[in-house]
Formats: sequence, structure tokens, C-alpha cells
Amino acid sequence: MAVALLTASFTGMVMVLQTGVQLSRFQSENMTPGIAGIALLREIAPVLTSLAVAARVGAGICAEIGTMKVTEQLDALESMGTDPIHYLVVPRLVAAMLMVPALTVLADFVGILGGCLVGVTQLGITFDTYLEITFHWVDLQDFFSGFLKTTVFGAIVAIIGCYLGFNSEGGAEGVGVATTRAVVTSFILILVSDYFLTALLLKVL
Amino acid sequence: MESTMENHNEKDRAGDPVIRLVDVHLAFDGNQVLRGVNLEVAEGETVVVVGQSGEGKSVLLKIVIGLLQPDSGEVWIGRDRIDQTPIERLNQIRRRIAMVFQGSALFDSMTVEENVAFPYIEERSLSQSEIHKRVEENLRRVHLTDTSVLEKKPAELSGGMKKRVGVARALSMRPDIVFWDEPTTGLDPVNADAINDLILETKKTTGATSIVVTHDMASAFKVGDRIAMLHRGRIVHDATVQETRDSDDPMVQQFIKGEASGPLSEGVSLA
Repeated sequence: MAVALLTASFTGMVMVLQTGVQLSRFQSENMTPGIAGIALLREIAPVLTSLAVAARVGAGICAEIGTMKVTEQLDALESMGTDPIHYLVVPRLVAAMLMVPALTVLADFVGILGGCLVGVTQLGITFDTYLEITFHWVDLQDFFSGFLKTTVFGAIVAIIGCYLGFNSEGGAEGVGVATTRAVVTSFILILVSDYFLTALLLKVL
Repeated sequence: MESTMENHNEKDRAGDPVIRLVDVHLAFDGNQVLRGVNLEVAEGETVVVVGQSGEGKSVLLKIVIGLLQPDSGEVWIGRDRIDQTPIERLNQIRRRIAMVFQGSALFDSMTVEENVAFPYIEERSLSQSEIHKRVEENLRRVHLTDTSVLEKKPAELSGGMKKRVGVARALSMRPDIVFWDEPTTGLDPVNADAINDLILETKKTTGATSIVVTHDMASAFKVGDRIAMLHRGRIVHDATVQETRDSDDPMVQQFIKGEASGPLSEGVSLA
């Protein structure tokens, strides 16, 4: 959570700084809170939060299950008549699909606050004005557009972590390779699916 | 579970072997590990499967319990053909089988108590205090009487203790069949012999049918009723302990004596 929130806050801050400075060239800096808010809610917070979760949690899932595989713990589970998919995958999948969206809501909030901090201190916009412009521009569609995508991103992180963990081979080295692959694959799938989900949600919402 | 026991009883009446492998073949990525294994284990019997490292002894156990699927051949436990049994039925059968793994395979994230209590997860009728009582009882059976061990994680245990906890977990459901995969490997001679005693004690108290996979001949002679030797994917020797000791088969003698030179290391053709 700390990684995701740190990422969101500094991304919100740098976005407002960059956008504000660039828009000031066209005397349009008062649009900064709205643009930053929409970008954060629709794209930046959902994607960066999911990437942070993939790096932290996806890697953890893969390493844990991979270690269980190479130390025969998965075999032990099966030999006791327990279905490893039901016991290990389902809870992780459900947790990721619930917690990535929850984390994204927090990241939305922290990102906007971070942007507000820079808007107030660097761009000379008052706190009230910043929030007023943000809520004037941002609506529920922006929020749900980002929020809904993160359930899919959460599923990607859990499924890739579990799948590559279950298929780990070759001891500690194999687990390391699988973990790296899980992070890279999750990153790629999150970024690629983001485009298609965005295109779909722009039509639906 | 009821139908499992029913089948088991039918099998007893029929007098068939409890475990039967018929012409089992298995290859991994073109590497032929098993080339027609035939093996039968009678009720209450302990068969020790010996052989050099990499001969497929552990693979054989995993095939019998259904963790690996053979390429061809038949695997029977009682009247159930394991290699063709649907997973739901297989899981029922597995609940009357225990497997003690070479590296103990204790769950890293759980304490000793949680590990030993794991098989009771599906026994929803048991209260927490009843489970706790049974865990302590199971640990006592493997001579782990110090209750401080309950809260320890597997990483905090010695190799011998891990084995004992693994045995306690495996035996907690009072199995009819026990598979022991390299039970004494990696242990000092004293702890190794203590594990051998545990195997004998388990047999005496539960009457379980067992397959022990090992390359430790002292252990094989102590715990086995019969010894089967796996070499180049086939059972090349299958006899009682005494017959094995007295065997004039040079491969068997080389293995018993642990000699570097001999037919096992010269690549004798079995054709």
C-alpha cells in the first residue's frame, strides 16, 4: 500500500507541476486541476497502482507458490486431497480483484491531494479553488472508468503470479526466473489491456 | 469416504493386492524414466523400492498417489484404477493415503500446529480444542512432546524434527496406506534410525500397507518385508529381505555393498 500511495502522490505532484507550467504558456493554468484530476482518475492512478501491485504482490504470489512447487508443498497439498487451485488460487484472485480497486480509490485521493499541494505551493492556486476546479471537471464516469479497469488488472496480477508459480521448475533459480517473468508479463498485460479496456469503456460509459 | 471404505472392504474380500502397478511407462521430455514397471504390494506389507539416484523411485510414488500420470500402464489402489480416476474420487482415495515427503514438504507459512492440523480442515465437525488435542497426540506419537514446538515455523526446526512433524501430519488421518519418500535421507545415523523405528511403529500400530523409497540399505533391511530394486526404469529384483541379502545378482550385491564399480555403473544391458 505504501508503495502505491507514494507513487500516486508524487505522480499527482509532478503531473500538476508539468501541466501547470506548460499550460501557463497559453495562459490556461486554471485548467490544470481538472486535467490532472481526469488523467489521475482515468489512467494514472489505476495503471500505476496496478503496476505497483504487480511488482510487489504479483512477485510475492509467484515466489511463494513457486517455492511451494519446488519444495513439494504443492504435492503435499494434493496428496492430502486438497485442490491447490481452490486452496491457493481462488483466495488470491478474489483478494486481488477486490484490493486493487480499493487501493486505486486511495491512490486517486492521495494523487489529487498531492497535485493540490503543488498547485497551491507552486502555481499559486488556492486550496478551495483547486478542489472546486477539480470537482467541476471530474465526474463519476472518470472515476468508474479507472475503477472498473482495476478489477481486471487485479485478476491479471493474481492469475499470472499463480500460473507462473505453479509452473516453476529448477529450484531457487527457477523460482527467481518465474518471479521476474511474472512481473514483466503482468506489466505488459496491464498496459496492453489498458488500451482495449479504455476503448471499450469510452463506448460503454 | 464411506464409498471408499466400501471399496476397500470389497478389495479385502477379493484378496487382491492393495497396490498394483502393471507395465507402467513414463518419460519426461523424451527421457524414458519408467520402462514397464510391475509391482504388487499386499495388505499390511512394507515394500522398499531401492535404486540409484535418478532412477525414478520418487516418480513411482507420485504415480501411485496420482500426482503424476503415466504414459501407459495401469495403477491400481484396491479396486480403483488411479490413472483413470476422476479427481473428486481420487481426492477421496487420497484421504486414506499418507505420503511422507523427502524434504518433509511442511507448509512454510504455517506453524507446526497448523501443519499437523491441516488434514483436519475438511473435518468441519471438529472443534478447535479437539483439533489441538489431536495435534498434540499426533506429535506425541512421533515423540515430539515439547509443546513449545507447536508455535514454531518449519524454518526453525532441525532436519530430524521436520521429518517427525511431516510424519505426524501424514499419519494424522489414520491412513490405510503410507508412502515414505527417502525418509532417512539427509539425517544423521541416530535420527535416521529413529525414523526407521517410527516406520516400524507405524506399521505395528496401524497395520498400514507401505511403500518406502530409499537408497539407504540399512533402512531398507530394517523396515522392509520385501525389497524391489529399480534400475533403468524397470524392477530388476523383487524378493524378501533375506533373499535380497543372499542374492547372487551382482547388481543387487553392488548396491548393497555400495561399491563404485560393478554392473550398475558399467551400464549393463537389461534387454
